[in-house]
Amino acid sequence: MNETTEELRREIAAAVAPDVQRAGTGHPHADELIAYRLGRSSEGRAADLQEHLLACGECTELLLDLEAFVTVEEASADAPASFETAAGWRSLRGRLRGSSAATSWRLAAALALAVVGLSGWALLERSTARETRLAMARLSLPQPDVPIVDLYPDSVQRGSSAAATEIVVPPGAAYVTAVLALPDPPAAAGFEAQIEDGAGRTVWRGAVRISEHGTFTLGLPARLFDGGSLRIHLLAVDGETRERIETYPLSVARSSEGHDRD
Amino acid sequence: MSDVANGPNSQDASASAEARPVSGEPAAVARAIREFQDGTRAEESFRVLYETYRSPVRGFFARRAASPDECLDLTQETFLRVYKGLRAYRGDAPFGAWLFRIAWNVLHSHRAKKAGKKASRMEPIPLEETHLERTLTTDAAGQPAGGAAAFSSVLRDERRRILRRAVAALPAQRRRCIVLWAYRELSYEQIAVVMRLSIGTVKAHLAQARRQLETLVADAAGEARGGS
Repeated sequence: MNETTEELRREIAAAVAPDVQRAGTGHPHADELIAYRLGRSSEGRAADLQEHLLACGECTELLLDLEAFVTVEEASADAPASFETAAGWRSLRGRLRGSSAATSWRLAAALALAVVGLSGWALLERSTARETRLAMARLSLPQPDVPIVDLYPDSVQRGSSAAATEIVVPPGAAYVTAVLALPDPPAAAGFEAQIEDGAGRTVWRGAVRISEHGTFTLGLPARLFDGGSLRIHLLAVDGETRERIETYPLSVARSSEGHDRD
Repeated sequence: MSDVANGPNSQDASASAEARPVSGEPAAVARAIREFQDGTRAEESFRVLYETYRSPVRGFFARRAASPDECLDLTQETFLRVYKGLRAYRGDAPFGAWLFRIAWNVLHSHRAKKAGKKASRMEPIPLEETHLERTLTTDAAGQPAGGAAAFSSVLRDERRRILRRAVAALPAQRRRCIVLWAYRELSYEQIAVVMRLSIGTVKAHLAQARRQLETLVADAAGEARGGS
């Protein structure tokens, strides 16, 4: 560049400096620079960007760097990589493999956890199934000392709670048989029994059938008889209508004498 | 001064009068991306990408990192992210632009981490007084000009005012080219990138702008002499 040109350059630079410096704020986002470089900006936005670039060295440098990214030349397949590039690749390759290995380890760990979880679940299932089978087997065995209690309704015992029938449940009992006596059975489509605990909560409810003797026999799980007082309500069922016809109070005690068959 | 007065070259008022072509990826790059995404020869394919793009990525960080080690780390981090995300690359933009965006993200994450807060774009670097301005406003000893020098300064200020007006009156593209050349001191190639013009167009803009400015300034100086 000759002296005259250089002098003109300096003069112009000094002359435009105040105008240019005013334009140097409000940096565009990298995406805007990319869109501009790829010719995807609107004309107006492109003009604004160009005005900004007149003043902003940082954005100009970014744009020039972007140019280097999008105009790379194909590396010759025959040309060996420089020492620096080769060393960089070796280092990066180690990290890539480490990253892949870490991913593999994470996958393996997740798989192992899944296997352990499934195995546990299967064992639990097997255990539960075994327990169920054992329980069924126990229930199917004859239980000569199963508690059988004859219950009489409130009305017969003049409604006194003190007259609740007492029942003692031995520790090994799997179920209790309760026979509800009903002196004057009403005509009903069906019957249900409802058992309430001492707090008035329903702990069991189910259909019952009246026998030819006018009684109802309930085979109830012994766990229902954990102690305290219970009330069994007998209901006449007619369609959706249920009418309480009798209540059977009972008092339950657990026997401390162990004659568990298990 | 209107665009019409500038003759046949006044069509350059549009910011996108001449778009630089967006170069496609080198064939080897396109093939490497395809093979990587297919899962065939993933490592070898990635090596092609690394060797092709290492230089611009490294250059990007070399101009912005605090140390060579930091530059190396950021370069590697960029390629690691590319490796992890390349299967999701859809080719909507050239691979180089996609890679540039990742490098930019890496840089900003790094800066945010260093600053302990979310990174923001760098503040514009305050423009310092140029050597030219110092030269024009001080005498040889660096002291404010005075006496005969003060008279010279008045003339200089007047010339600068004329020049400033003349530059402002140039068509937009020509004005931007001359500012990038004079004030930013960019090369023709760099101006072409910034303005998205061909180098030939840049040279033409600069030649015409210089002629116009020289004429305008000479006319203004003649008028000043005639009037004095």
